[in-house]
Amino acid sequence: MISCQRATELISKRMEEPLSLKEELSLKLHLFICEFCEKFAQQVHLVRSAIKNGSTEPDDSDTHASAEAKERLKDKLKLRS
Amino acid sequence: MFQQAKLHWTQSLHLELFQNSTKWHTLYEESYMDTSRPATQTATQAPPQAQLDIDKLVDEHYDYLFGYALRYFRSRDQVEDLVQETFLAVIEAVKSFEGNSSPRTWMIGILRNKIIDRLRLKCREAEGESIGFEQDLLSHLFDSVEHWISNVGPRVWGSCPEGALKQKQFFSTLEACLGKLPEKMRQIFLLRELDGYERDEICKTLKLSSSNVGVILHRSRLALQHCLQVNWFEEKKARGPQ
Repeated sequence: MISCQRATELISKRMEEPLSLKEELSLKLHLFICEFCEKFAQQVHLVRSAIKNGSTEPDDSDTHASAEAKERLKDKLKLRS
Repeated sequence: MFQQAKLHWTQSLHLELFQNSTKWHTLYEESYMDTSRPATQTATQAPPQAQLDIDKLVDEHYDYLFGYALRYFRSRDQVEDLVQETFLAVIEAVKSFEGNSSPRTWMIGILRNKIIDRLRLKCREAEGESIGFEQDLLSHLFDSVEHWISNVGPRVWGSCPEGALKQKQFFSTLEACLGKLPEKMRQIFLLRELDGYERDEICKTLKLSSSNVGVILHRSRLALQHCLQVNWFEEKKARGPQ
């Protein structure tokens, strides 16, 4: 029986490449009896789709671009174009 | 170099993450692009009088590119430089742009290449930064026989986990959790999950071993799952049903 730490490693590895048959079986067996790891698998996939589909528009004030930098850039670009 | 950038953004079109209906020719005072011409023909025949609308270009895309790059680098100065370089590259390259993809997709492609150039340089400097973090994380989550410590183990996040994707709070917590990862870890995680690079591409580009990148991705996932559970799920539970 693999440990939970090992099971989470395999869950992550499976998101990158197909597992070997042995890895796949030991993970399946582990997930069958371990609720924590089963949730972990579900939630890391949720995080993946959240990052893929989420908005990257910043909504927090210190992630806002500065207006001055924007104006300076416009001037610079106008000189170059 | 632009040849490289171009390959890149055509690939990235498949992601369709950054859909923007504005087409390039709307950025010109005088539209000269004939969209009916065969895609193989290059668009170098722009008449010299076509003027790029710089104000519009910057107003429409600056904030988005800035926010995108800020997820990778904490320094605002560095991000401003990076975005500026991207715009300079954009106005140089706009003459050969074919107009088949949205400007946003194309500009993100250029920015992404610049982010990677920067990461290549930075990667060596940051070795070891995350080791302490990783040790602490593992001993915080797993006991001596590598089983979840029961009060931190993953819990059910509500009856429908996908419901989280409809909540603004979930996304802002995710953003904050990403910000807490050590920089190098976050950058590698974002290359994989935001920009969709394969693990092996990241290894090759950043000259890291495949197991190294695998471990970093895994630790990032452990850290994010835990951070979301503590700061989003348990907070939500404490606030009660909404």
